[in-house]
Amino acid sequence: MKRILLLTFGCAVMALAWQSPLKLDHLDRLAAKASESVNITLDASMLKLAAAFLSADDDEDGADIKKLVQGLKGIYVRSFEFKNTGEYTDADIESIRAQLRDPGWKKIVEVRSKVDGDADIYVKTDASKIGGLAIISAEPKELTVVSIEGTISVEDVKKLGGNFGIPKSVKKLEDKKPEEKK
Amino acid sequence: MMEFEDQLRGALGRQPAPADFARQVMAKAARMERQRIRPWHPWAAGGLAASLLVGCLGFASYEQRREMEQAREARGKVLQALAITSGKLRRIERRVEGIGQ
Repeated sequence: MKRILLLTFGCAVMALAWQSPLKLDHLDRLAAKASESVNITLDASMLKLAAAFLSADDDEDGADIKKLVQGLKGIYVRSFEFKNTGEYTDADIESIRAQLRDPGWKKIVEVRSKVDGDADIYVKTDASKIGGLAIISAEPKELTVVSIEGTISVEDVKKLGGNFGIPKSVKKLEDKKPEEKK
Repeated sequence: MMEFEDQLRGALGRQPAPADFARQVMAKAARMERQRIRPWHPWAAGGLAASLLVGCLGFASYEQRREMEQAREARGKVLQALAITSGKLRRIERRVEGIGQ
């Protein structure tokens, strides 16, 4: 009986761990050092609100984005741009990587470079579907961590990686950002 | 002088109260009490109801506007988050392709 209870408790803890979003709060202190920072926290209720507003979007891509957002439970982004190198530590990233060592997560891309920095892409897998996506991009003067919780199809991820239909106004903003920083 | 005093005494002298004086007094007192207790005149109740309606409508409108602002803000954040994610994925993809070449 004890074993069954322990097993049930263990399963519940694992399920909770699988569902809980990545803890990124420790990165917030970097905002004080950053020349530019982005802090986005969107839980399920906010995403639902946004999805409702996306339906009124006249942009032709609004429907695609709405479809993507409807399957999500949370979007968390922390992005910092620094004027100098060495403003964040390995420990800042390591605590996130430690969370992603959970068996539910699978690293699908790992890029290591002493010049351009490191980049990792993780997906949270549950049988055949992807239940989350995490990106760590640690460049010398820029640190970005993205955590997306919820059902994302591989096709959606591909679209995100390709020419996903981000509305032109937002895409222009993104294109303005210098992507090559050495 | 005496005649005048007699007239005055006669005029100011105590008169016996009418037979139903007590009943009339009690009836008037009860009437006044009822008027005092009645909380609202009809126009006051109507005014209050109208004020409440206007207040409720105003609050509902404010709530709706606030929700719209929150939704617009959330939408902006979603698009910004997707733009950052998309940009990072593209960049990582290019780096991987660069390594492959």
